[in-house]
Amino acid sequence: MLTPKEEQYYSRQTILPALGKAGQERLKNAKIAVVGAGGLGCPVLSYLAGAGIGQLTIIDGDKVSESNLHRQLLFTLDDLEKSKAEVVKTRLLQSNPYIKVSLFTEYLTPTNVKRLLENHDVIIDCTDNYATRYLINDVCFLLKKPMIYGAIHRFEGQISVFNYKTGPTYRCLFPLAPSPESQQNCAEAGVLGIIPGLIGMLQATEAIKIITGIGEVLSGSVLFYDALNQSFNKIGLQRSAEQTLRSIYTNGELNPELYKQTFCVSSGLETTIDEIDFSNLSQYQWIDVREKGEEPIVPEGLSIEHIPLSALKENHHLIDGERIIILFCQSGIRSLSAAETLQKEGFTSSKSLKEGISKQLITLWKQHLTSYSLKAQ
Amino acid sequence: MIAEKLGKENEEIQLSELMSFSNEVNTSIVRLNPLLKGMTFTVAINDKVSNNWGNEQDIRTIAVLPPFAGG
Repeated sequence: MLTPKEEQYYSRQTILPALGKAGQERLKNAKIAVVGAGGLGCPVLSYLAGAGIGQLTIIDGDKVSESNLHRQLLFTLDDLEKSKAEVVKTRLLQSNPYIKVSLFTEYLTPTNVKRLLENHDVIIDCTDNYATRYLINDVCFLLKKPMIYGAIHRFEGQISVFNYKTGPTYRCLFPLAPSPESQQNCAEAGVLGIIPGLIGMLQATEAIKIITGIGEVLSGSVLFYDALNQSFNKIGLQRSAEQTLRSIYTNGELNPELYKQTFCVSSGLETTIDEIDFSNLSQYQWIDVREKGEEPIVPEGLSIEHIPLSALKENHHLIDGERIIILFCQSGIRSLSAAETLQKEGFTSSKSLKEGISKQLITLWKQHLTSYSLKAQ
Repeated sequence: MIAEKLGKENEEIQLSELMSFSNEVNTSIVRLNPLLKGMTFTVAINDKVSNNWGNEQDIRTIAVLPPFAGG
């Protein structure tokens, strides 16, 4: 039942003939998990909170950084380094105190995904990597729950509803995860802030349609949006990956081994800035595996080899197997793939810099350069 | 993403030539555009995802659809 205050709050919505108070009650009784509180997650959560989804669960282990602010509009400069999930919860409840918001400030993994998602009616994919998308898809198949997919790249976006009744899944569209070389998220490819805003709103719309039963759910079709020519194209999709999905499970449980590659589970191949001895950089060979032209640019004066991941195999002669090899990219995905490749080829000291080239790393490099030049004087 | 890689949004092609490369649509697309080798994509024929050619007479459009990572 809606309280008098809720009736007032949702009055402009409940007068919609297709929705009414019955529809509003369904929204109030719904439980939705939103994986990711970033570019897609911010508009999804904002509009679902406003619409009156009774229980929203935010799953995100990330912290706010400055480069998020142009598109993740729930955050401000005062929120830098704070937990995204916690900031979003505060903002949502300020806007709508009549809903409940739960948090999981951890990333989804094969071991926690079922536990975190199972008690929800709808799962919304607002993630920024393929590994988690496949994980969400596969567990939604197991749990028989709809997954509202959204993804963006530069000026384009994609949206669909997967695992809805007998409809297709994400693996029916893209059966296998792309190679690490072609994995580019917003940090690497760039994005116009409006794009996740638009796609996120479409995802929220689908959630409301599923919960209330109004309209036609975007299942069996994928919507492709291109902002540069303002075109929407709907592409039909049939369920085809059922056998693949059934093979993923053993006794009703996901097999974590299957996600080792897509999750780039490291087996000790990763290192962090804290583990690097910046007072003795000569023991390391730094290798930048990004493509030419990617920013931020490495400070001048550093001895860093630039070998894009796509060209790694034919440039082994540039790699110094006598030193500790530190590979880096934008976010640690490509560099981890590079480290795995080099390890297999005998460069056993190869490590991937977790989380990639960061402000902190550039500062440490610059400090090293400064102290080096002071010593040289 | 695909348009960036190929430097073009669309093109007109000789369908019979494309179909002659392989029974599988994806393989034929890569044969025609070698820059796509190693890339992950799905093909839609007449706005429906498909990896089978079907009847040549009915084919009007072929769309090459990449996955997106961003969010």
